[in-house]
Amino acid sequence: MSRRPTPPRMARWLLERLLPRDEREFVLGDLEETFATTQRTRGAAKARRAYRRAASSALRALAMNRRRAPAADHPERRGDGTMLNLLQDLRFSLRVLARRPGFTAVAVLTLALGIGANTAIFTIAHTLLIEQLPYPHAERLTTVLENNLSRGWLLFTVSPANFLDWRRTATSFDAIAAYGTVTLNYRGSDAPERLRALSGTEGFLEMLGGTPPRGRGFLLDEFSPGRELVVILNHGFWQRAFGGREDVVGQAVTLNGLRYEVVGVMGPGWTFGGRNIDAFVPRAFTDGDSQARGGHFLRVIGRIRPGVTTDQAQTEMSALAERLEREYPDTNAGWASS
Amino acid sequence: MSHKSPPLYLGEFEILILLAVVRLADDAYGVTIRDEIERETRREATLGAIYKTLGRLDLKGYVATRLGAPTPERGGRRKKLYRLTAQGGRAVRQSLGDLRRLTRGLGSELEAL
Repeated sequence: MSRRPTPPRMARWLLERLLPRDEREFVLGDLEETFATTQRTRGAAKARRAYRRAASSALRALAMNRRRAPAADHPERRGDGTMLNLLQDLRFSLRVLARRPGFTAVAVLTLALGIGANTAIFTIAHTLLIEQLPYPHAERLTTVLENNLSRGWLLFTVSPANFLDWRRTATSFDAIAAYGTVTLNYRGSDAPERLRALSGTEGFLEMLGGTPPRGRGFLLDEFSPGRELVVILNHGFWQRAFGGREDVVGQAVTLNGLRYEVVGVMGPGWTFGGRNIDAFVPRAFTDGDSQARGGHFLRVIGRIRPGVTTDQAQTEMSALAERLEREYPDTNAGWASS
Repeated sequence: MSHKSPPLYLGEFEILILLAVVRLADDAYGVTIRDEIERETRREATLGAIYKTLGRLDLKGYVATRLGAPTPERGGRRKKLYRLTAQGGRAVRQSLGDLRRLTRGLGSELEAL
């Protein structure tokens, strides 16, 4: 004697989970009863098929179209399993979404914008934190900043005189340079244009791998006042304003109303922290600058000497700042470097 | 015409189900109602359609329910038994009366359809 045939297990499993609790017992009972009768009169296979059909019709009728009843009306439904609640929520939300295309569009748009913003932020984080900087010995490059904890300033730009003292005395770096961004008004043949330029002290461009393939880099004496009216064009600006003409080196251009001599052109693909820079000019310090310790406006990067750790460099810079604090108490009180 | 009182009009399937409930007396539940309709009308009725319609009739107050005894054939599950309420009875009478009135005197015409 073979085992007594049973209704399709999958269909019954679905019914047990999807049917509303207050109908479940009667519907399952009706289906089971029908299965038994059909199996006796028409055989097990037909009975199983009939069970599946009836199960699907019962689900459509009872599980899909019911609004969620308030818990107060059905206190016994509070114990529903997590999965059942989840399925209910899912069905409910799909129905709501289908019924309100406008709302759905807004929701989808919101999600799209959220995902877009996330992607954008990750791109920035990837550039800043994960990707290697595209400069030679990038692992040894470091930003040097001042801080004034007594005033609550954790990271602050550097005053010219302090930078010059660092450059003179610090031994932890094999190169240290200050820079800033400057805006230059350029009068070409077309409309005037505002250029974004970097003005750096000697060694700045070289530290960032910027050796111009056309023309030359800045000469040492071009970092002294009166000699600094020279400019190196970045590749993009050279293409845009001069059509990539080779004879631009040696020509004069008018920037901020002053005549600058073009001494070099950078190769393609050179960027500065992802920003587009049009040109580079030398940063010259006047005698006044070399005394100025009160104004903190320079950004400083240093390349730590091979074999020196960041901690060692920090220790040296801290000691240096303490010394400057003692020597120039009026301007340097409270200022440390980091 | 005023629509203040709830309309007693029934759909065709609702009439079939209510009549089946009346015929089945104390034994009207999903399976027997379906079997009764299929046997007498020769049309297929799915359990889903019957549940849905019974639910609607219950909401309108045309049927009332009680629990029946479990049987081994049902895997030990109880039945949900239906009976007509007074309101349901009025609705059936109204619908059948409408049909009778509209067919009155249409003997040969109905034969010709």
